[in-house]
Amino acid sequence: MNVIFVGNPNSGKTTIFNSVTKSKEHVANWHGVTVKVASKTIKSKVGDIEFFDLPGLYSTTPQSGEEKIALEFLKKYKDNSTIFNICSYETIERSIYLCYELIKQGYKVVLVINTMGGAYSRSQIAKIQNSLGIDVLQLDARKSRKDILDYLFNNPSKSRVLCKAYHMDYKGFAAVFPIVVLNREQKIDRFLLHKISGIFIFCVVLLLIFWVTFGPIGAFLSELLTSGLLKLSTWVLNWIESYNLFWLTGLFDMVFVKGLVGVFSFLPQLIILLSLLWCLEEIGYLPRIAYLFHDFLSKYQLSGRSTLSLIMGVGCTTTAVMTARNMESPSLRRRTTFLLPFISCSAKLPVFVCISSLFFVKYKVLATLVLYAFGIAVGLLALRLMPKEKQATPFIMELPRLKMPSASRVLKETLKTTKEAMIRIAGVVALVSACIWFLQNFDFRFRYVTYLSDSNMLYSISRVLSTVFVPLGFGSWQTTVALIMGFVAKESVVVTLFMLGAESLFTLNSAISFLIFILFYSPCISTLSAIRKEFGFKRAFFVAVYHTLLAYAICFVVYTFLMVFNISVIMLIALMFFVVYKVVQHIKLHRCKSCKYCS
Amino acid sequence: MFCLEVLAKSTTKKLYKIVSISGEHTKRLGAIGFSEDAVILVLEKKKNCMLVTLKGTKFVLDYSLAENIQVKKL
Repeated sequence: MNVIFVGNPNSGKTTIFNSVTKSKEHVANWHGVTVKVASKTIKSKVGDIEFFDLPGLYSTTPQSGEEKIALEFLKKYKDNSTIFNICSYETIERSIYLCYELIKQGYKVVLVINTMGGAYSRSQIAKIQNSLGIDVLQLDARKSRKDILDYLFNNPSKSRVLCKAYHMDYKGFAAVFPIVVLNREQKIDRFLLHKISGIFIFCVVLLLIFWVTFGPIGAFLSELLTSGLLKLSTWVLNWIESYNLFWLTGLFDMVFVKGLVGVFSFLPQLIILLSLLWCLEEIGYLPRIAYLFHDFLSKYQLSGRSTLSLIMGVGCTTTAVMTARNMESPSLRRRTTFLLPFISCSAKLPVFVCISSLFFVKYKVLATLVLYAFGIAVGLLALRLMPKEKQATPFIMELPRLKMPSASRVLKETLKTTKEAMIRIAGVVALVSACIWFLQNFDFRFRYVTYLSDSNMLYSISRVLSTVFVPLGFGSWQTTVALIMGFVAKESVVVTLFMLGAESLFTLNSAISFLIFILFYSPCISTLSAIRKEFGFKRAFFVAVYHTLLAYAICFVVYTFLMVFNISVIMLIALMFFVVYKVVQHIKLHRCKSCKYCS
Repeated sequence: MFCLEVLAKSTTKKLYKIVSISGEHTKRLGAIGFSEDAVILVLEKKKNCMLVTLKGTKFVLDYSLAENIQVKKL
């Protein structure tokens, strides 16, 4: 038996799917979270039941990529499945349009009213059921397993019977549903969405997130965890040394002490950052940010819809590239994806924090913020220089209702995301550390040599490549290895630097140059493969080459400038932003308005 | 009868009733509740888009879409 959950975006489909199948699919309080079909089979007394969770649909006339995916799937399974059309109680008046269309097209539909925001009385439900001739379930999406399974067991799949609703017109169909009036959040939204207070609140929220994550709270927890792990590793190292296994001591020191401890020291900050972002998602604040920035982004031929992907980019660029799929216009998708690698993902954060804390001790948070801002500024400038494209689809977006965040869900989702991220990161770091240990301790004839020897493989390979980076100020073989590892996964840059002791090789100027290179150079392999999947190999190749060349050019200019004029860091920051501003102004003033770049 | 874009930009009147919808996005707008006789409340106006309430749901609406919606003042 096939069971399909379908409905408007943000109506609670994935919450019901998770509850029924005990899955852990990503849910959030904004539209377009689900971009692909999720499925799970459960065994029951009536046989195997396969459940499907489809991306959100407004009607059977698809507009965006994920709507097309959902509709194609529905058509494929039309004859042998039960369709649960999920409608949110709060938005029932418009959610039922899809239900009407599905019934008209001959689908066997069960209407499910999600009561997370309120509920109809039993008599009202009975009246709706009698008037339409279809089954209507009213349930809380979070506790829907029993209701859905009971319904399936007591109503085995039978041949489709044309119901009363099939013969109704839309006006008659909609009139059956009592009107829902909700007016709770109007006053809060007046502040959140106002052009001045809205931007002010956004800036305060952003600064608070940064302060809590990287300020005293995050730093204290991070230090606590690091000291604990170091004590543990010292105890294990002493134990290994007592057996005179010197090679195992080296491997353990490289993989665990320098590699994994380095990564796990960021665990508290990652948890704080993710939980705060989850809170914003739960509240429903993210789509409001999209509205606030729509005007600004329109100047760059983006739309408010891009904001959600761009915010996701702060977490992980790969995920953000995938969320861009829900955009209707291909040109908007292309432009949003183009901007994404300029937004520093969470994997670059440890590099920024570590190197900033060495050279800008007191101002490390500020330095990190400046790097983020500079990345976005250059990205927007690069977007300006791209040829303009015709916008195919105008912007329309639903704002979800404001909700109090559920502590348990925030905690659950944070732990789930952190666990996934740490497993991935720890796996990569452990592998990279082991590889570095191997390359550092063996020569090309696979003979064991000391890591200080000039004949080890790592030294020989990176010494050749490092000459390329001499003009940028970080031409040591250690930084070259870190950059190569960063291409595989950005998480491994900082670990490699510390394992090879490269941090002591930096001067202030070369550290600035290196930070800027990390900010702009090619995205990691997983991001490139996501871009390849969405836009093809050529595009992925272009992104890798473009970003590496751009990073090289900017670093070369910045480093040469620093060396020649010997200016202070504050002057440099001011100068960098001034140059970006001036170029944008120049483009504005010198538009010919006839070529594809200007029209 | 005027189009929503013109009215929302030029007057302070905020409550409108949809008379008709035209253009290539009619079906799309219909699917999310923009149908004849529906009442729109304009909450905020910006340079490129506006914020409206329709049937209890808030929508951000581009002016290029609003020009296809014919409304009358309430």
